[in-house]
Amino acid sequence: MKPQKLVMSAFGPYAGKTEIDFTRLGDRGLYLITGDTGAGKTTIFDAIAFALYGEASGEVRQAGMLRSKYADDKTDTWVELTFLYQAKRYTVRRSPEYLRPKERGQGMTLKKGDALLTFPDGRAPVTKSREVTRAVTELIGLDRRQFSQIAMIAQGDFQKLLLAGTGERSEIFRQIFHTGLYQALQDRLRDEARECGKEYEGLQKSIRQYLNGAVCLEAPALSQELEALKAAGFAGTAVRGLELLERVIETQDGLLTGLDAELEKTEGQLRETDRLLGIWHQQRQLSLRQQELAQQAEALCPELDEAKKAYQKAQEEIGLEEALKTRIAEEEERLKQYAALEQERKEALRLKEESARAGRRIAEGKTQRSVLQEAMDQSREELLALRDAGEEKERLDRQRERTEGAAEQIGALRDTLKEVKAKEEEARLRLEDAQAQEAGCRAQLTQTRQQAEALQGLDAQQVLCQAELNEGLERAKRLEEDIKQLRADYRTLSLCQDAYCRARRDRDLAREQYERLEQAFLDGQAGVLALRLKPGKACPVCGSPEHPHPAACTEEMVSAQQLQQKKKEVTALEAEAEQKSADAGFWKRRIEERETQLWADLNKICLKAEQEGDREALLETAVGQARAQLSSERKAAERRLEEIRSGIGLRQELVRREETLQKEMTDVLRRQEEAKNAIAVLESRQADARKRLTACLSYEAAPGDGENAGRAKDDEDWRRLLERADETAAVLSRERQKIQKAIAENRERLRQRELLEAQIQKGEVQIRELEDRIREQELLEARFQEKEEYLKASIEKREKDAGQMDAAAAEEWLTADREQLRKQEENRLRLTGAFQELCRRRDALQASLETLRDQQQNSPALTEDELLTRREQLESKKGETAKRRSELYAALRQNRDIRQAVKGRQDELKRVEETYVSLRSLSETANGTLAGKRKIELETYVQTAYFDRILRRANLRLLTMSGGQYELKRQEEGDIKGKAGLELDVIDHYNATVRSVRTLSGGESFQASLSLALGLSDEVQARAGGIRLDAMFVDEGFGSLDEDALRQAMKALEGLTEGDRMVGIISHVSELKERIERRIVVSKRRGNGGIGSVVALEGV
Amino acid sequence: MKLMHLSDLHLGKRVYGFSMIEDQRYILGQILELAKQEKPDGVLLAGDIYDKAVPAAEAVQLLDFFLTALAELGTAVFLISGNHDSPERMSFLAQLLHSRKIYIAQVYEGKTKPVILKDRWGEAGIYLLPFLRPSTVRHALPKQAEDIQNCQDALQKAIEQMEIPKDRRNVLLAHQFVTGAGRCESEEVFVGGIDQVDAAVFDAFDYVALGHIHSPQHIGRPEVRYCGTPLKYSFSECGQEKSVTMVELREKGTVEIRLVPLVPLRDMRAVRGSYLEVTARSFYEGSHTEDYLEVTLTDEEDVPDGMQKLRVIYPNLMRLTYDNRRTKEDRDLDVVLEPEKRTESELFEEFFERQNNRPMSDSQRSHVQKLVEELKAGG
Repeated sequence: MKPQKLVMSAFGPYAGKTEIDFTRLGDRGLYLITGDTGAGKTTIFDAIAFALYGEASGEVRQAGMLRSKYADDKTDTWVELTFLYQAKRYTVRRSPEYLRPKERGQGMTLKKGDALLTFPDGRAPVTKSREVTRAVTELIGLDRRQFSQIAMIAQGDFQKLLLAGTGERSEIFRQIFHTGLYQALQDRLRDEARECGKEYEGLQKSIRQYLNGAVCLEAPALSQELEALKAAGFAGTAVRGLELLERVIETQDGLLTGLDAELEKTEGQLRETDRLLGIWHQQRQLSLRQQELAQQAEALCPELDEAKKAYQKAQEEIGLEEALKTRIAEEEERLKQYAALEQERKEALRLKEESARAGRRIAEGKTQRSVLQEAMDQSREELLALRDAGEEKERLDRQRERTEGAAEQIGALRDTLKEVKAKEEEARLRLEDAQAQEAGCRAQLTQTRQQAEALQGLDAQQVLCQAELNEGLERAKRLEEDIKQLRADYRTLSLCQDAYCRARRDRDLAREQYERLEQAFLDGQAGVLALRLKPGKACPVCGSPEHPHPAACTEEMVSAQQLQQKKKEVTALEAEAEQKSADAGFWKRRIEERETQLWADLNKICLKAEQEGDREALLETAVGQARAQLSSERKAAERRLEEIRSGIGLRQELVRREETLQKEMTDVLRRQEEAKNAIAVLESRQADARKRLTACLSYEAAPGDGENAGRAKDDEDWRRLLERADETAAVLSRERQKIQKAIAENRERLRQRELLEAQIQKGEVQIRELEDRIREQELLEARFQEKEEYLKASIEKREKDAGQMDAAAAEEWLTADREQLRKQEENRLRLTGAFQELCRRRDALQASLETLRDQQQNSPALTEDELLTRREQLESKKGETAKRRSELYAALRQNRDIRQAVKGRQDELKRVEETYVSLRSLSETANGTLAGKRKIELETYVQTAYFDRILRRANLRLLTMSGGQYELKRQEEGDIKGKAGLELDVIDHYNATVRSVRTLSGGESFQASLSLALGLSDEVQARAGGIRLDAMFVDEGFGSLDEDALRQAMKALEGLTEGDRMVGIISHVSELKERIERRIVVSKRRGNGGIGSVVALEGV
Repeated sequence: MKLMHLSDLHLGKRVYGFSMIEDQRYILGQILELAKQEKPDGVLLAGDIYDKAVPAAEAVQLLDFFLTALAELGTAVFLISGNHDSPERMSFLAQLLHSRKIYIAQVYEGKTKPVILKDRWGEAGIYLLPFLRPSTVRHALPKQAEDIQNCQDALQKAIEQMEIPKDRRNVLLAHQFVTGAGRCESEEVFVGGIDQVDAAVFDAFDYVALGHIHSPQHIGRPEVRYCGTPLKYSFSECGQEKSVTMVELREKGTVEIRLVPLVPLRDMRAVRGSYLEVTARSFYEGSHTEDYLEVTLTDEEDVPDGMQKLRVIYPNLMRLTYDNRRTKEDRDLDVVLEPEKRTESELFEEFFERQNNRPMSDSQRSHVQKLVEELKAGG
């Protein structure tokens, strides 16, 4: 996260809109934020933190305090931060909640806080404070707390990092090193252990409940103990309770078996008694039965007799039946006979019909045969007529072939001939054509050649012209050069002249001065002498002893030296002036020379130069003229050159054309050759064809010419030949047609013949068939007649046998007889049955009586009454026992159930207990709640590895910063209260002690926390987690360091900036101001321009 | 013409809390003696005269003494401010001192006029360039500000402005970091990292007296030279011999360079050994125990009250470090066990063993593994 631009409006001490462009500070390195106290240095960090997370950077300020008190009521408070994250630009804009005056009316209104995050890829922006904070946290990977611990170390906060407890540190590391899994694991284990514990408890409780339900009235000792345990709630004594229960069950079981046995016995006795009673009862029953049976037997007797009588009667009438039966048989026989007779009669009729039919058919057949016979004879006659059709056919075929063949040949040859002739014509035409073309080409060729020759001489001309042109250019250039040089010389001359004038002036001035000085000197001398004049002493100059007007001393005493100096000056200046004048003269001469030269050149160029008048003007005009002349010459030369060039072009063109024409001509000649060859070939073919045709025709021997036709070679003969060929062809074709017709006829006849033959054959076959059929029918007829005869005889016989009686009457009689027979039989049978039945009954009764008698043997010993009482007793006893048993049984079952349940639960309990114990140990270990051990959680343990790495990195810096004295270390042992694992100690190498970090001084603490923060940010960077900290901010704290320490701290921070990081420092320490070049200076403004603070960037 | 080249006096510097002012006084005295002997025509002080922009009082007094003494000798003194000095404060009364042949570089304004010295081979121009930052030069040459991005550009522009005549011998005093110079611990790297200048920029000068780097060396040509500090200011300089550079300029094209060694009052040395070795009488008897020492103990364990005890023998002990397996390990970050390389279950097992002094049971282990998988899958 690297800030690019920060814009604050009415924020903190910044009354208006203030902009800071961080990009001007470069993209890596340190920069310093410095300024007056209270100017707004920390506010810049606050603004950044606020823009990102909605809170100020430290703990001291709240978001509501951020509105600027200097701001105009109308100015809104907001912060906009543009930052780079992973090379993409994001913009966050946020405004806090604050009171501002209502737009209409009096009083203040609350303006709600707001935020907006814009993405670089055009996604929809995020609004609403919380959402934006969340989005930013997600983006950067740190929430505000972590950000303030890692990337922005606020004023007064650096101690916190050092002194933070394990809990806080753990949270931070969880976020950064993604150890949340372990925490989740811890929680899960804890929950599971708790669940398991509950389950365990539950099971125990249920076991207890069960055991509470155990009942035992039988064994007092056991029951007492059981009750005691119940009272105690089976705490820990579940096993004992189960034991007791077992024993109770045992006892109860025993009792139950006892009771069961008793019950058995009683039952047995009861059964015995019952049996005896039963016997009595039985006896009584038997005697009653006996009596009954006897009565029955008596009643039966008379019936029996009757039945016997009837039966006997029936037996006698069997004979009648027999007679009836035979009669019936006879009648049946007779009926059969009648039926047979009828049938025979029918048969006879049929046969008659059949034979008649057969006779008819025979007659038919015969007529048919005769008809067929006639037809056949006719056909045979016709056949004879068509006998010779077959041979004709062959002869005709052969003829036809021959004619066809001849015609074809002739036709083909004629066509060939025609074709060849046509081709020959064509070839001749082509030849002529080609020849004409050739002529044309030749003519063109000669023409072109002539033209080209005409243009030969142009090359030489071109060269000449070019040379002229170049010369002209040369001259012009030279002219220009000279002119320029001349002008330069003029300038130099004027300079020299000026110099000379100046030098002369100086010289004159100096001369003047010298003279004055000389005079003064002399005057002075005089004054000096005058001083020494005494009245009466002779004057050294004039010798007079009187001195009426001695010379006065001049004010300025000019020394001889001075004079000398001045003289020297003067001479120097004179020399200079001479020099300058000489220079001027030199230059003048040079100019003159050049001019004459130039004139000479000009005259050469154009001869119209004037010689009088102003030299400059003349020169100019002459120069102008010369130039004009040169240019016109040049233009003419150029034009000529152009012409020549075009001429050359044309010549080249002609050469090319000549070439193409050459090519054409060769082509044409070639074609001529081809045509000639073709013609020759065609002629030979023609001759060949002709020969063959004549051969053909002569073979045909058409009417007219003889041998001469074959050798004709000119058109007339050709025509005649062709005519003849045509004629012959026509003749041949006519012949062919005739033959065709004949062939067709013949074919027809042949067909007819075949047809007739077939017909004849068919007819013969038919006749044969017919004959067969006739024979058949005759045979049939004969057979029918035979049968008829036979039947007739039989019928007669039967009629005779049957007599007069007819069938119907006979049937009536039969049925009546049958009825009768049946009735009789029925009657007889019935009677028999009744009789037999009665006999049987009588027998049965007899038998029963017998048995009853047998059974009346054994009588029990006791009387019936005795037995009954006994029975009652036993019954009651049984009832009691049964009741007792059922009670006991119920109790036993219940106890058994309880035991089962408890046993089952017991197993489960054991299982659960195992799991619980193991889970609890896991959970306690993971959550650090083991008794007697330091409270290190699993997550913390994992984080210690990371922590160690961080400490190592931090120590690299701390060792350097403290000159090898201090090193941070993770606390190994400590008190057992509170969470542990990520506490810090510091090692002092100078006296080899280990002590708590709280013993460090202020400056040392700053060093340590700075190292720790740097170590942490380094480690975070080194992870591949994606959190990139490109910017760091340190707010104060440097004031507590001395020079050396400050230097070391600076070194450490500078080391950070490798790899693209920006570190911003807020400090007022002047050393840092000197050392760090890029600065943001915040200053308070008072008076002009309103109040508030301003920000200026320096050193960029 | 004979010139004496010095630089980086860092008067008033404190090293590991020790004030070096006494040693500096001693060495400056030695340099004065040398000046009396050699009688140079000029003494070149190439920057970093003080250690801080606002120097300590005694440092100011010391410089006052030194310059006065040199002036008494009659040598010309040429002085430029370095990156540690404040250019404005250094050039206080600079113009007035010209009469005593003490030439101090002004705050850079764009023009640099040379001081002309004459000898029998003609004139020599001495150019004084204080420590230049790009922003300084941009400020002085506003029209060309856009072209000045780094120190290289700044120097180039500054030298262009000088318009140096090629037929005269020219000497430059400058205080910059030239590419290729070897550094040691006591230097300050220029914050920002754009301070490198290529030696080719000095091609027009016959001799370039450079300051800023604390070890004596030359860059490319032997005439482009850092003379180094007169005293050792960090333990990385222990092996060096400190010296003063004497330069003889004859006719144009001939430069002779000679080194005169300096002997300090208290040397800066490094001593190494185990505690017993180092405190053995045989070890330190006869050696200069008053020297500034860095003691590296090879004992595995920290010696209790080590500093105290060693200071008894070596009163000027500056630094105590340990070089044993632990420190070696500490420096090697990769030795740290990577938690990622072990699975979560393994870590838990380890932790469990530590806390319970017994390993996990199999059921516990499988349970933990199952949970871990579940959680990882997002359960």
